[in-house]
Amino acid sequence: MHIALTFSLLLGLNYACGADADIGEEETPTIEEGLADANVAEAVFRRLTRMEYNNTIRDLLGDTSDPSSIFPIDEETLSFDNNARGQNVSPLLAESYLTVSETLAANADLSAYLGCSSDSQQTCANDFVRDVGKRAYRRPLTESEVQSLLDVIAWGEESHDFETGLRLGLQAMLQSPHFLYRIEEGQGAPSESGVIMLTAYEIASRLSYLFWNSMPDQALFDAAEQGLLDTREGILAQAERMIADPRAKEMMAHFYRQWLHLDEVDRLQKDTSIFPGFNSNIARLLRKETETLIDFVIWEQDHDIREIFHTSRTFRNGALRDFYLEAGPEGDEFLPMGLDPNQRAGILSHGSILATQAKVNQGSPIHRGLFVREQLFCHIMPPPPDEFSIVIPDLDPNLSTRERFSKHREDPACAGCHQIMDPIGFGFENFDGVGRYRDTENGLPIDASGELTVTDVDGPFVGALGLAEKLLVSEDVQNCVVAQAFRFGYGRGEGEDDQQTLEDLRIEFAAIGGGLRGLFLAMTQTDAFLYRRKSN
Amino acid sequence: MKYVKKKTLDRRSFLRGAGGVAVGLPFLNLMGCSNSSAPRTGSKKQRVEGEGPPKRLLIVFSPNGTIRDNWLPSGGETDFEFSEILTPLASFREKLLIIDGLDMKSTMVGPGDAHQKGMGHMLTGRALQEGDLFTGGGGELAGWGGGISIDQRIAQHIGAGTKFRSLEFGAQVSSNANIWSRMSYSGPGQPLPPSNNPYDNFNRIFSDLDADPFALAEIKAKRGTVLDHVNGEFERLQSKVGAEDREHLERHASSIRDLETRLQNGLGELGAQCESPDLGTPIDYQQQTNYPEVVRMQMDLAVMALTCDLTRVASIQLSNAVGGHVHSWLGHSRGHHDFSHDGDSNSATRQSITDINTWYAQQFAYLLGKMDSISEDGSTLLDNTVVVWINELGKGNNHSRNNVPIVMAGSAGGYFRTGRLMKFGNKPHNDLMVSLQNAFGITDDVFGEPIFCTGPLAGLT
Repeated sequence: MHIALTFSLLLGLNYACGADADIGEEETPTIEEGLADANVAEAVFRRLTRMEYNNTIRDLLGDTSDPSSIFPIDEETLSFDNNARGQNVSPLLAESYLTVSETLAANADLSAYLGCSSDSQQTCANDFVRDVGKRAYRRPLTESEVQSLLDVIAWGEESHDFETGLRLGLQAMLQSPHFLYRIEEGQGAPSESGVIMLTAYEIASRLSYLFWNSMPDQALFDAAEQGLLDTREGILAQAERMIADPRAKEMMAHFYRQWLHLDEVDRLQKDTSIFPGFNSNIARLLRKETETLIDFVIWEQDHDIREIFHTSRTFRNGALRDFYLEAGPEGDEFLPMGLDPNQRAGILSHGSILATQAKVNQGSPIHRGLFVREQLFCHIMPPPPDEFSIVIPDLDPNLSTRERFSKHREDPACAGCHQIMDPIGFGFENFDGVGRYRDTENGLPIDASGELTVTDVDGPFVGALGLAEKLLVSEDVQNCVVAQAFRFGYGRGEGEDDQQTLEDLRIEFAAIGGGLRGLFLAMTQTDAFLYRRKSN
Repeated sequence: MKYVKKKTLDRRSFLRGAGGVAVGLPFLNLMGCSNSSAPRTGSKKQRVEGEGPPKRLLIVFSPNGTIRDNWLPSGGETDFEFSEILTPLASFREKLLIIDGLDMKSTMVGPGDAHQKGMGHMLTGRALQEGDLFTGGGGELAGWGGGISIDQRIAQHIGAGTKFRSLEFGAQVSSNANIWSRMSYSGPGQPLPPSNNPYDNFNRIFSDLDADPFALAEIKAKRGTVLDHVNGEFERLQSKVGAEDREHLERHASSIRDLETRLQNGLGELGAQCESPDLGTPIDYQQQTNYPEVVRMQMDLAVMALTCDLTRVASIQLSNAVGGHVHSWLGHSRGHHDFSHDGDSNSATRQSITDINTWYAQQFAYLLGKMDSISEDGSTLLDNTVVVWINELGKGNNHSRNNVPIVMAGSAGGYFRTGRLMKFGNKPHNDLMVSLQNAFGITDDVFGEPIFCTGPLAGLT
């Protein structure tokens, strides 16, 4: 149902101008026709991240040895590990590519090409280069590329033997820019504003890396060759096939883990004299609670993703029941249960996020407020003042957190920013630094009143549920999800020339009911996906 | 686990990683050969007769500023008395230059919040890139560091002949690779990652030592052929793509050319005291309670890499900007960055921060001790090096980058006149980097953003 809705709405998008417009009355332009008006910001070629490298090697060679684990970690920008502009190939990484390619080539199963008798070795080498090369470069090789690789193989054969030659050829492919980067040369003449169309193979790679963080499968290669990726409908059909694959679930988890900083949970260190029972195992289980819930909303329910902030449903097991000191299921299995709406609502009241957005020995309204600001509203906080006349107030353990941080509100140098963060965070005062519920702090009753400002849902609220009710209906939050998905899906920050794409996605996202499945499908129908700006 | 305690390898065994990754060849000296009897491989580097041991640069970083009252020695230039924090360095008095009064003035310009700027300017002395890369914990939009860092500038000048142009070591540097966790840059927007895994470092740095020369030559030939081909592909691609892509790809291509050059260098002449470091029984190098041991292992590796002349430029990054280590071995249960934001009147916290920095001074003392025990032609490795211990901030709680605490050790082969406390009244820290590059024969009197340079620091030589 959702899918059909997506399809027709998107196709009519550029032409639906208001209540009187008949959707579908005008023909949606083909990709070629749309070129003249298309707009997209400049982008640089995307290099495979560590995860993409591992997945690609798995699909290319059947090698599951996790080879990229020795690579330096991917540069993280705007929360994500795949921002193309932030990437850099240091000498250390180049060296890692070299040593890893040697190992992968040494272990690769080349039996299909090694069985050649000596007079047919040239044919085998040719087949090897064309077949493996096409999959490695994700497109057919040019004749000169083929010859160049055959030269490497010939050198290896002359100085050692045929097998050595083949394996050296594979090493060369694995260090090639055409393997490590998704090179996009495009096709056809650019539009007046410098935008070009992509080739079918390039679209295939965009699809596979968007949905599976890996290279295209045979079906995608076939679709590219049969011209099925030349139309929006054809692209959407492939996207629908791919999003139903388990690899899409992995991809989505990779997205929301980075978006919500869940990748930090496992590394948490806490003062266990203050928070007994917290350990790395519990941290993992807390993350699993949140991820199980998010997966449920995305895949089982396909609901508005903002529900993850509001729902009273969660998934816990016996160990978490004991940790939270709340009623819950028995045993090791994670089972659905209801949260007490007087206490908790949604993932912002999960131990995972509460413990991550906190300090070693206490909660932190600042961290929690900043998290909501930056990750859910996409607001950029200005930096703390740069001059050195600030005196940081001391902590008085006899005061409540709210009172201790009152200096933030009183001192004009601090108030500007802290007034935007702290009042949100105070809404979480019923939770300690590992997410356990509390009614008092230092013997004083908790005041969990908070306030949202500079949003489309401004106003006071009380506690987790109060905030959740606002987040559930906030258009700012919904638009922020689009921005986060844009950054992750397209591997860059939004540029000025991406306004059409963002607008299209926002409208579509709201129209289909705010589910992430539909959003990612919609991401294949935008200018940002279908075109590229030719850089100077 | 790739690293295997030495003495248990046999000649034909390979060091295997988690996925069967074979890395390099074993040490001959494990089989009973001494280093002096083992055949040397590689070409000899150019060294003029009578020139003496080479000069080296080693940079050590620790985060979150200091408590200046407990850091700054009392007294005058030569009759100073060690402060609480620097007392662990007392036995190295004659070889130190304690530097007070340098401000990161360059951070007055360009984007970024305090920690971003502190980390990004510390070794580059210039504005961060504009851009949409980092928003950060209360930060403006900034890109990466905006220029080459001093260690890489010096490495460009002196590093062409060694197996590694430079080596970047890390001790539990954050697993988020961003502007807060990178201090070395080979150029604008080109951060160099510090290597946190001491065992990977061991394998990468020392595996060729005393390797079978024939096998090594074979590997070199194969690699040369493959890299030649890859280079060709980059060249053909460059001519077809737009400017920004070309620049991006060019950085990659130059890293590959760097690799090729190093392949030609081989090992050169190895110092007499060169031997493979013993890292002991493998530990979990990411476990926070193992931080002290990891720090020492990385220091041992760096010292031996310098001793063996496998590189002449190295850096050891202990944690990162906003570093949040809980120094439980000091009795702490709060993180470093957390402490660093308490008020000035909190005397318990001031003591905690002092203790942390004193502990770092003890680690620095360990490093200097190791270096001073390596004799080279009548002097020591320490004498022939200039070691610079530096911080991203001056003071933690207000993020001030004035009076950044800096301790230099070693004279770089007699270039610096050591044994003194130098107080510069708020000079730009770019000047220190000018002094450093001058020590290695780079005669420029500017480094980083020129408007913040006033020439090399007076009185260091």
